[in-house]
Amino acid sequence: MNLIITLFASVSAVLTAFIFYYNLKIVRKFREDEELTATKLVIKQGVPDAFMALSISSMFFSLGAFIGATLKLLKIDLFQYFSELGVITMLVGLLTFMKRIEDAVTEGEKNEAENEESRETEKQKENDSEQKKEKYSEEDSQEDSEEDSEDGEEASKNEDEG
Amino acid sequence: MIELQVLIELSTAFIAALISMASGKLYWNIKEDSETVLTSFKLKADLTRYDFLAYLVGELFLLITFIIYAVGGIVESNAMIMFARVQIVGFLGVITYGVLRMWWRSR
Repeated sequence: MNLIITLFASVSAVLTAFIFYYNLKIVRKFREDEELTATKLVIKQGVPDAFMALSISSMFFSLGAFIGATLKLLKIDLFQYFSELGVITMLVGLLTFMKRIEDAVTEGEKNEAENEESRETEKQKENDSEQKKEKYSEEDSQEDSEEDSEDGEEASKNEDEG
Repeated sequence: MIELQVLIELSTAFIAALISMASGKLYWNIKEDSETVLTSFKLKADLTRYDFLAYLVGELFLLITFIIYAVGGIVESNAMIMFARVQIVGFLGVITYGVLRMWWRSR
């Protein structure tokens, strides 16, 4: 029994199970969100970092596999499990990737709700301001008519004096 | 046998490097487009859903692969371990395809 490989494989299997779980959550959210309005908002926040995590972890994986290949090619029995270590880092990176996107999708849903609320309040404000404007314009027109009538009275007085 | 192992390791390294490059570029594309109107719109449309579905299938296979790997470690079967290694490369291919597609659309 090769203890290291067994241990490594079982740890990887557990990590993969977690990744699968988060991925399933994401897929479910995409399904619920028919118009994908939430996902659109999401991409601004957590997603760039998620891609960065994936990039860095797969870079480590690549390095590990490359070192492993070189060691095997040169037949050096220094440490055989570089690529196994690489796989673990890759899985951890993938897990953070899935976790972040999963978080981002929920955040996006919240933000979407908040945005709708703010939109409604803005609409109400606009309506209020329009009503106020109408009121002001009505008052202005009333004042104008009063002024006009005053002018007319003055003119008639002048005519009488003349 | 050693040559086959080296080949597997090298192809793994190559594919992982490809994923690293694509996701790094995707990171910059999203980061540069500060309003992310374009990027997010393209990503949300048809890509993300199917990509994540593809990942889901790939992860199921990977889970089975790691179980085979563990069994190979227990019974010390070299063939099983090698089979698992090849399968891992296959799963990485799925991820590479998804990330490359995302990157291609986000440009």
